[in-house]
Amino acid sequence: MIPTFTHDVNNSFFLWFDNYLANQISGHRTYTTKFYCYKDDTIGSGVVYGSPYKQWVYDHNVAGATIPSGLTIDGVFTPTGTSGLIFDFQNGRAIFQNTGVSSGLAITGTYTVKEYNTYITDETEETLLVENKYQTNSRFTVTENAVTPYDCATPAIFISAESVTNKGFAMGGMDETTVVMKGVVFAESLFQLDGALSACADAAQRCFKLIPMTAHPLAEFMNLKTGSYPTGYDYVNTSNQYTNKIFIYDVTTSKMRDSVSKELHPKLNIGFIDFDLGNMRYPRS
Amino acid sequence: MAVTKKDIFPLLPKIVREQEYVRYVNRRIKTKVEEIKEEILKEFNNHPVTVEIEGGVSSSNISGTLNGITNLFSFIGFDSGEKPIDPIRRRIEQIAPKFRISPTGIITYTIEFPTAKDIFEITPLPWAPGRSWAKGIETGISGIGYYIKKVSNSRSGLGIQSKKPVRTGVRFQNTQYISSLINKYTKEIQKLEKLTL
Repeated sequence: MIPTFTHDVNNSFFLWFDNYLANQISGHRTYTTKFYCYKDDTIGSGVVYGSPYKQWVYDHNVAGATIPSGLTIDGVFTPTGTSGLIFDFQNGRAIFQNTGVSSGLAITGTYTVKEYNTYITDETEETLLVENKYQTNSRFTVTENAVTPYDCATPAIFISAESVTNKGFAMGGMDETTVVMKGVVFAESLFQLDGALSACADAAQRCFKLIPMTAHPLAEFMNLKTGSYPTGYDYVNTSNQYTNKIFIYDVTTSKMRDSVSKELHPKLNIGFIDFDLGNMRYPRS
Repeated sequence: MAVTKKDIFPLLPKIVREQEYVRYVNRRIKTKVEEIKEEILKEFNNHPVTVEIEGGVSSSNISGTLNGITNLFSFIGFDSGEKPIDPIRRRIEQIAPKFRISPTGIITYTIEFPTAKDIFEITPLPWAPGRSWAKGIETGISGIGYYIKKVSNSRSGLGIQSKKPVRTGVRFQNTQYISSLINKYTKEIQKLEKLTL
C-alpha cells in the first residue's frame, strides 16, 4: 500500500508536534548516563545497550538539545557506524548490529530526552485511560538501569487521528479536508500538564507543512535514516522542502477532573487536546 | 411621473422617525425571527440526541449512537437529575433582533444567533469540563464517563465490584447535531437580508 493523505497528515502532525512542544516549553533534559546491556530477540544477532531514558531528541532544530553522534566505550569516544553502532532514539538505546560485540563494555553517553514521550496511536481514549498501564520514564528512580523497550512510558502524549472529512470547497473538485486529531496527556505533575496544555492551546491558527511519510526521519530500528539525512535531521530544514500546508483551525484543551483522574491513574495528571486541522486539496484528481 | 430611489432617499431620515413605520418594521422582523426561532427549537427538541439525553438515565438509545447498549445520558456520564440540554435551549431562546437607526435613515438589524462554538462552550463534559459533549456527539466521545459511573456504582453497591478492569464494551457512533442545525438556520437568518417589507 502506498501512503495516503491520512498517513502524511499523521506523519506531519507528529513531526511538527514533537518539534513545537520541545521548543515551546523547552520540553527536554540532557543526561550523561551509563548504558546497560540486555537481550532483545527482535534485534537478531545485534547487541543492545540501553540507557535509563526513552525517546531521545533527534531533531537538531530543538534548541539546546544534544543529539548523540557516538558513545564513550571503555574511555574512548566511538562514533556511530563503528561495529554497526546505531541509536534507537525511540527506546533510548544503542544497538551494535555487528556480531561479536562484547556484552561487558563500559559505555556512557550524553543525550537529550523529551519531557513528554509522544506516541501515535490508534487506541481509543478509553483503552489508553482505562486498560493501559504505563511505566515512568525513570527520572526519579534511585537505582539506574536500562528502561524496558517498546512499553509506553509517562510523561506521555498519545495522538490519534480521530476523523477525516472531505467537504466541497470550490469548483473544479477542490475539497476542504478537515482532520480531528485528539491527544491524551499523561503528566507527572499539574505544572507539567498545564505547560503542555497551554503550549498546545497557543498552537491554534498556526500552520505546519505536509511532510510525506517517506520523509519520516526514523528507520526500522528507530535509528536515523542516514541516507535521507546524512547531516542529521532538522525539522525546519525538512519542512522547508515542502509547500503544502495544514492549517490548525482550533485547539481545545481540557484537564480531566481530579477525582476521575485519581480513580484511573492515581500518580498521573491527565489532560486532553483536540486539534481541528484543515487542508484544501483535490482528493479525486 | 415614476418614483425612483433618488426620490425616496432624501425622505428616509424622516420616515424612520415615524413611530408607526418603526413599529411596523420591528414587528415584521421580530415575527420572522420568532418563526425561525420556533423552527430551530422544534427541530432541536425533536432531535433524537436531545430526546434521548432529556430522557435521563432510563431512556433508550433512540439516536442509535451506542448500538442500543446504553443511553447517551449514562454514556456521557451525567449525574441523575442533571439537565444538560437546558443551557442549549436557553441560548436558542435568547435569539432576538436588535436595531439601530443611522443618521442617514438606515435601520440596521443585528440578530444574536449562536454559533456552534458558542453552544460547545456551554456544554461541558462532566469529567473533562474543557471539552464539550455536544461537540463530542459530532466528532466522537470516549466511554470514560460511563466507565466512571460503572466503577462508582459498583462501589456504592449498585453493581459488582471486580478487581479486573471494567470495560465499557460500548463504541460510540458520531452523528450530526448542533453544527448542522446552526448552519441550516444561519442560512435562514441570512435570507432575512432580502426580506421585502
